[in-house]
Amino acid sequence: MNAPSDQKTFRLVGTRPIRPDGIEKVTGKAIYGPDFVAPGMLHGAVLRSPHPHARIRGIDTRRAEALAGVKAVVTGADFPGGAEGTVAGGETPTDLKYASIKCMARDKVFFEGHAVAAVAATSAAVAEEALKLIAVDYEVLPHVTDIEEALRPGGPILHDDVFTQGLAETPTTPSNASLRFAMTRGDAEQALGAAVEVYTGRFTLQPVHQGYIEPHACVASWQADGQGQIWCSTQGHFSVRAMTAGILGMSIASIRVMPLEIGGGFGGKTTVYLEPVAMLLSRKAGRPVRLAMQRGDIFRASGPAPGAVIDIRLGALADGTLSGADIEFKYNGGGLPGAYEVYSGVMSTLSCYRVPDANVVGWNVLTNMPTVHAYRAPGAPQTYFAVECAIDELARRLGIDPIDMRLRNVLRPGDTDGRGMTLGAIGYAETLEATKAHPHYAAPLGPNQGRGIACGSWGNYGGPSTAAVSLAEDGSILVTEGNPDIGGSRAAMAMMAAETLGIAYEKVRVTVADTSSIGYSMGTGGSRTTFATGMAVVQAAEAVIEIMKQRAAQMLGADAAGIEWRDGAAVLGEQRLSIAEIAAKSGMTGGPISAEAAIHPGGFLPGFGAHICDLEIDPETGHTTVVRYTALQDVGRAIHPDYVEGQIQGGAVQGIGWALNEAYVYDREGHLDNAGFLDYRMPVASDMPMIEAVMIEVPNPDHPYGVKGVGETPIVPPLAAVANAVRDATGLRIGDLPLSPDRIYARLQAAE
Amino acid sequence: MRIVVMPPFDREFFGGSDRLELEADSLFALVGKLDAIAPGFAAAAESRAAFAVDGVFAPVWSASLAGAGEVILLPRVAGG
Repeated sequence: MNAPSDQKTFRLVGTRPIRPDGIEKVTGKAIYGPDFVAPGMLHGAVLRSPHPHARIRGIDTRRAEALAGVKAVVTGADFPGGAEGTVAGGETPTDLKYASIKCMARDKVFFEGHAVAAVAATSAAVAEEALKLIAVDYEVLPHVTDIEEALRPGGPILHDDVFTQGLAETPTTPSNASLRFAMTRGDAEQALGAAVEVYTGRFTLQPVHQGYIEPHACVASWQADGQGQIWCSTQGHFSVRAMTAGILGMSIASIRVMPLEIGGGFGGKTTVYLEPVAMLLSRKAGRPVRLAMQRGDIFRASGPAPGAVIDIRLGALADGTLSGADIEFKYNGGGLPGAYEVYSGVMSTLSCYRVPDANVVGWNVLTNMPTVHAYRAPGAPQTYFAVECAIDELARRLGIDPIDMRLRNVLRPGDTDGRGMTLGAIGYAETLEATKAHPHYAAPLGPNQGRGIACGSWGNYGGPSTAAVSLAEDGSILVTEGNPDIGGSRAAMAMMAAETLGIAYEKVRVTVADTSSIGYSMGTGGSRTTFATGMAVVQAAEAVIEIMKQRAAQMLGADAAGIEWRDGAAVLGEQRLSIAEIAAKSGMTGGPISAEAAIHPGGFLPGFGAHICDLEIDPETGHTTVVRYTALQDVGRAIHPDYVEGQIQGGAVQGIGWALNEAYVYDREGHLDNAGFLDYRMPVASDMPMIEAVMIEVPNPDHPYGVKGVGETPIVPPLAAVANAVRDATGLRIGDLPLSPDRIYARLQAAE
Repeated sequence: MRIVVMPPFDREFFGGSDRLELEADSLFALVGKLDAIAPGFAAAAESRAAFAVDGVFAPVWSASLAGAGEVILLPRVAGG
């Protein structure tokens, strides 16, 4: 709806064929991280710190090593020293020093659950028993988990060697503020002074977890010749390879990483926690070792999205034009430096609006929590929460429809964003117009119900990808890619290959290859895989077509220049050779037919979404029920609409959970109080209405099938959409998430 | 050719300057010239920097900058 009407139509792209991995998954035959078994495999277990902040004075592992069945014990002392520098495994660099400490503490622990030792034994029970025999001598230190407490003078400093980056003057004293990043354009103060209305507010959010169902798990085997193999569930097995090699001082080519099926990642599986530990255990034991996290370990020791404190002043003119902004946010970075959510947070703030005068400052603050890690559109949902709530308030004060206000300010093709990047075929305005025209927006509300609108954007990415296409002897097609299938890439790659080759979808099979079987491919993150790896598949398929045209020319005794490729066949006048016929003769025309494309494409475009949330509040309990939710998004071109809609629905529900219920809750001792799904309340299907996903297709002209990344944008709008709906239902602007029943009830009572 | 140096590189390498004027045939050559001004920049750029040429993201550093008016140097951003 509202998308350009002259779009090219395709034979397969845009249809909904059956997913190629569905039967394996629903029958339980697919092998996920914790399922993999290697011959002679040992069972590993990790001892984790009970303290949020402590110095390790010593670790005595002798009793554990003496226990029958124990084959290896490792501590931080077993990690090679000198793991320094960075590896560029993803869009941003990984600091090897901190990646290594994240896997295993050295002289200090920085959060409850920080690994301090690990054991490999003949059974899981023996390994767990051995952990009890390891004696760790801790000097418990004062801890801090709150952002503003961590910045208070005189409080505990986590790292003596961390000085704030990004200040005008080089600091001389260590600080928990590890990074300051700012972007300024124009004169924000002058613009705010001239504004007709200025909304001033403070917003707070708690850390939230990605909530992937499958735990982190791996099997590692360090061979006698110094080479290693790792089987694991990850969003990027090439990143696992690079990080593990860097941490352990191995050459990259000496490690082969086999990706298993992945049961959710959402950004949280773009790093390593277990793999280097399992490799060290395997080297000591001389046998493969499995490590897997329990749910409590995942909450306590893997990286959530950062909590935040955000102060905002947003100004507007009488006609609704946003004129100036001054925004400062502090993200809770957890125990170790190296989190880059502050960069993306600053660059995402106001990223879909024209605000000529703006000052945006972000801080990363270290606390005794697990080090934060990527979660769908990392760094963006927090600041968009503040901005979209502020726009809602300004629209109310100015008497302007909230969608009209956004339409007045939203970026359009040819505009530049806050970084100075010129935006091409974006569909922001089309999405907003479709939102306004959607029947949901005009539907009546019932008693105690409210409606909220919010937008969100995410920049997306391209990144390096490799793909191979080869022709089997019977004319069927094999596609090999280097990206784990998280959101349907097998189906999407098969569809793009089949579309390009002019053959049936069922004729194409896709394999996710290990790190030694396909060229480098950046991880499945940044909403990049269907865009970048898909482009590599298309280019490889086009190269295969060229080879097949040459082979057909040989078979027909003609010039290849006269051969056309049409509907899966080489055509020369009235003569036609199918793929199967060309494949059957390939041995006589030059040998196997295959091609590989290794690319690093630009041309990606950001995604944009607008969400409508209706909810009902029980005034007697403060309980909130989402009664209707519509998520509209510019998706470029949906290759397989089921998967695209699934991404939109999933992101929306995760954002609703962030808004309504989810939060890391720490007690006074710095212990996580809700390290399990019973107490950490993520939405389940029965909590939600059907999320209506509406795809707005404004194709990306720089992709052969118009793809834009879709996976991250949908988590950005829901936080403010929910909060704006609560505002609409109650008249209360509540800037603190989660909007849990007790918080809403207390505010309702106070308002009375 | 105008070089727009975004944070954190402006303060970290160029004394707070966010605008430079340099000519270069390619991003490789440009990074070399920036490294000559601020030793160590090239190593940092390889893992941390992204470039946009006349407003368009440019992942290939060997591409010609002939006719380009502006290069923006900005930090890479991680996705999930």
